[in-house]
Amino acid sequence: MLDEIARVQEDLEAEIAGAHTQESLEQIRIKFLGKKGRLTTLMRSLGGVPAEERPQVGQKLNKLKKRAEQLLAEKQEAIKSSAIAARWDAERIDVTLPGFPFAMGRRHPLQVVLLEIEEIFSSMGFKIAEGPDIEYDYYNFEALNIPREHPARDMQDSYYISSDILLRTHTSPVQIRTMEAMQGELPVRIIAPGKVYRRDDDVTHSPMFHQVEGLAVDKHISMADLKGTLLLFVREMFGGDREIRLRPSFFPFTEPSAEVDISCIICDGRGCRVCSETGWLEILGSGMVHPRVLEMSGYDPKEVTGYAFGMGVERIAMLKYGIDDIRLFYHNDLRMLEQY
Amino acid sequence: MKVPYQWLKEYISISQTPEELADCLTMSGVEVGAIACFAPVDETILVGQVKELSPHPTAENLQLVQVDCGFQRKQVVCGAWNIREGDHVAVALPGSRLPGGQIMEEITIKGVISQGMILSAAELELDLAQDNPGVLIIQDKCQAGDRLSDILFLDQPVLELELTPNRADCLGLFGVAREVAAIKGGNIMRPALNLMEGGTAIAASIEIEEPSLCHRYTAREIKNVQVGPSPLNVQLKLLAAGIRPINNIVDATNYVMWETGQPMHAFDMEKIKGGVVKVRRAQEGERLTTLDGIERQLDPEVLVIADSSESIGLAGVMGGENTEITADTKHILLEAASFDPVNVRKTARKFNLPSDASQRFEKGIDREGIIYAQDRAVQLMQLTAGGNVSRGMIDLYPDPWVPVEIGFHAGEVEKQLGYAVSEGEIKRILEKLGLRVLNGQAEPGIEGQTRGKINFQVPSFRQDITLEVDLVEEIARLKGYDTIPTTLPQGVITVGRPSWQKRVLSRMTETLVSCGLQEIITFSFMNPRMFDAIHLEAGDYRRNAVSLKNPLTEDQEVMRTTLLPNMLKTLQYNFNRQAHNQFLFEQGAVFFPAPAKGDLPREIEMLSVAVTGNTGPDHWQKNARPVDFYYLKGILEMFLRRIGITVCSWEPAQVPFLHPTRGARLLVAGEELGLLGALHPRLQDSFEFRQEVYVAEVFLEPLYGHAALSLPFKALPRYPAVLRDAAYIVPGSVCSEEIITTIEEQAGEWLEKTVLFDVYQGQQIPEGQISLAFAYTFRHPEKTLQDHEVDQVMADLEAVLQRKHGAVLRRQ
Repeated sequence: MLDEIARVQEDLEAEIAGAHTQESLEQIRIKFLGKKGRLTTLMRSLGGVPAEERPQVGQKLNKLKKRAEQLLAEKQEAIKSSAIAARWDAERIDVTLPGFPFAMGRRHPLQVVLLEIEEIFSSMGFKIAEGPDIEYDYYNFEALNIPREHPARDMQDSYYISSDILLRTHTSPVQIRTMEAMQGELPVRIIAPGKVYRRDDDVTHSPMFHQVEGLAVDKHISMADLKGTLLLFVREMFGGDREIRLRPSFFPFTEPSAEVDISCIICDGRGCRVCSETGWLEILGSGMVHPRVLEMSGYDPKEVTGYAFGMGVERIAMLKYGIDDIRLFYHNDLRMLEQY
Repeated sequence: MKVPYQWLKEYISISQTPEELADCLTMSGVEVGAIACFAPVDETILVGQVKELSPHPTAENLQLVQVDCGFQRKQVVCGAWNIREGDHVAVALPGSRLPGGQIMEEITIKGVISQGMILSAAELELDLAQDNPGVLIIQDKCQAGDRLSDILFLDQPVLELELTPNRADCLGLFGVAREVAAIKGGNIMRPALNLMEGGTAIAASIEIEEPSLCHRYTAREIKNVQVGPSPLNVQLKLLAAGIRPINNIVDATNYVMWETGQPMHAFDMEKIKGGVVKVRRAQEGERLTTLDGIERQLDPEVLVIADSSESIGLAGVMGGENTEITADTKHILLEAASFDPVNVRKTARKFNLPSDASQRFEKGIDREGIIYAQDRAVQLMQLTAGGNVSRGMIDLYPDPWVPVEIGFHAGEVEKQLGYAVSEGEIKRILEKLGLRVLNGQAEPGIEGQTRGKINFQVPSFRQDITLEVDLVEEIARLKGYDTIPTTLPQGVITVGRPSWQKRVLSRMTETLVSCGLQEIITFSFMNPRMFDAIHLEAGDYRRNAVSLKNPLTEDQEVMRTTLLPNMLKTLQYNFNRQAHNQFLFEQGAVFFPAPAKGDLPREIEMLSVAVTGNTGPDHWQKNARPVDFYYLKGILEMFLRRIGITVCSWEPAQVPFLHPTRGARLLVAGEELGLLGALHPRLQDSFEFRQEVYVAEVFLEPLYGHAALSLPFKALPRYPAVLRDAAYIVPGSVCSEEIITTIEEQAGEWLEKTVLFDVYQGQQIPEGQISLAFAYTFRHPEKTLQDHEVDQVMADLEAVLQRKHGAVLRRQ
């Protein structure tokens, strides 16, 4: 009997080891543990074993049964996991192949810059105001203290529609339109982005370009506030360590007037080709609103003061992106546009 | 305005380097755009003194010159005959480089060694007056061996001022010197006058017939002058200032203009008929040949200088050829005047004659400085051209300068600049600029609110200063803008959030970008020939465009009335650069003439879209397919849905630039707001597009009113939906949208959603018919729908579709 048990064990272990599928494992289970299985048969014949040997044989049989169940379970587990592994293997893909080519749309680089400027000033409480591209001479010049035949008109060669209607040469007319519409209400805080037009066409001039005008009018606005506002803007736009420098200048609609330079974003102010070795880049014109302009727009210059500034969006985009020809913005070459 | 550094130093002592000076000027408002070097020459070019002249042994037209070059004597073979022993000349020795680039070598000329070259002005590339024959003779004090450059200041820096229009005072070196003095201290040194008048009284007579256009007119006479080239140093100074020397008379006028800012003109007196000079308007049809040889047609808008019979000059702009100073001129009449800036500006523009003179008149002349300038020029002429100055000066002054007085409150500085400056300092700064304090003490302030008022008188050369705030600027710029503190505006909080329109617009553009479209920006103007190129009919409203009066090119002749032409040009540009898949949009204004004369043209925001090529780039999964009408329509549907517009529909449209049977118009709440379609094949051919292009244009402004950026929440359904499919065979002439409208109207309130999921035409169904298959979603808000209930709806719907559209349910 004991020999028989040993043989069954030997066969069982060999067969389980040789099984590779769930089906063959089931066959083995039936062969050994089924109703007519070899082990089942042995256990059934335990009654024929002499009584003194019975406990010992019985113990061996139980042990073998446990062992068989355990081996079967282990093997089943092994076969299952190798089947899974095989499945994973079969389902393998090349994850390094390129992904789905979603078409990517983009804003025009000038819009990107414009939106950034708008966002910065909006967050400072400046409302966005707009005016027409085709403007009255009055708003474009006269109300800005540039009477007819004033030499300052030479600074901006204009496209005319008729003797008193033209394509606006700057966004400054929106200053006047805003103040007129607000009818003396305070405070005025606006920026006015938009297209402007001048008769000029070369590497640094485009017949159409974009400006953003800014205007703040209130009871105690000073040039120091202008400086503070612009410093905040410049640091948001060009980085927290930019410095600004104001230089006296002339605009008929501001007095005092200032050109504003920022420390060069290429060389950090040390001097390079872009800043002509000066360390500074001119980015905008500004000043205190001229009393005549306030007066013509319905504000009393004795009561209120204001500052105004205007910047060229192309200029800022050119500096920010290192573009050297303004006309590139209007070729709309996809190879350029897709870089933004 | 070019400022030769050495010339400027004659009027003010300057301790800074040119770069430091430039920086100071720039930072106080007189911008120095660049510092150039006048006329750089090799430093090995020296001054030589002619020691001995002897004939060349074989060549008659040459002579041998022994030149002392300081450290050595050289023999030079020379072809010029204007040298005498003792003259100082410019010598280039072997190894020197001439301005033209040539390197000197020792050479043998007709058997004689020449150890260098004596240079002419031309060889030094100095554009001196033309009757300078032969080599350059140096009249300035110098010694043999001196560097030529040092003696003639050829390497002196020239500051190029970029003056703002208000600073007319700096259009003369005295003004610049005054500015330097105000910034850095020092006194300006104006050359003293010691004019020697002769015994004969001035004979000419002057009449100002148009006193409103001529503030002041002065004249002097000089008789028996000797016209010739100016001394070398005068010519070189003028050259450094960018003025071409002509002769001693003209040069003197230019020289004094550069000093004082006062333009002047010299007439040949013998050519002035009747001895009378009139300042009058030109007559209609009058003609004048100006100094540049061009005959000008005049009209009464033009102020002229005339003699008794004809005009002899355009006032303030250019003289006439008929009274030009020539080598034979003996008697001079010298004009120094102030003309109306606007008139000079108009005349200069009319004849396209911007000149140094007209530029100064346009910005306003210091009327009080005219006498000095007149006398200074006459004195210079006397020095360089000899002659006798007639006694007396004619000075007609119909419009005398009225000094400007400004009452200035010190508090104004703090109000405008944000920091206070003491009264004492204010006075010091303004006095340095030539302003005069009228009342010594400050007046007491009103209830202590404002500090005292100081009255200042503005000098005649600062016409730009008229208001209190102008004085604030003067104080600010001389103290330096860097002293202004940095603060932020105080006061109430304001809302900077974008307006509704802006927010709708940004939702629109976001949507287009997320659909893969690239934004473009093109010019607002266009070539009107594009209207023909896109086949607009003669009466098309888009042809009625706003014209520009002065376009630079024909591409700027009219303001655009449609975004399409520029869109097509952009497609073409990129096709030509091998971009085959293009997905573009532009948002911008189009312009239409004003409804009423005198009003501004109408500006309407518009969107244009164009797609062409494949839906995406080539990919290994081969999922890209050519774009078509429905691709672009899908983008527009998405765009409208994202801004909450639901009341829209499409209908077939015949549009000149769209494919005749593949074009549609967009209706929003019944209003036609856009077009969509395949580009007409004839346009595709004429633009040389080798693939189909789909375009759309939509008016944006009317959309803002219909837009909704957020919609109210709809409760989530609690009962399951019943899904049904059905295909109908309809005549091919029926539009799918009609069927869908009928379904949505007739299927009852349980119909939640209708999706057209298949369109079929072919063998399975009769010819000329089309099969449309729909997937329906039915749902009841309060119960689970039973099959038989939906069956009934489906049957009713089928009957309606059959009745209205002849639709037959397609059985499998």
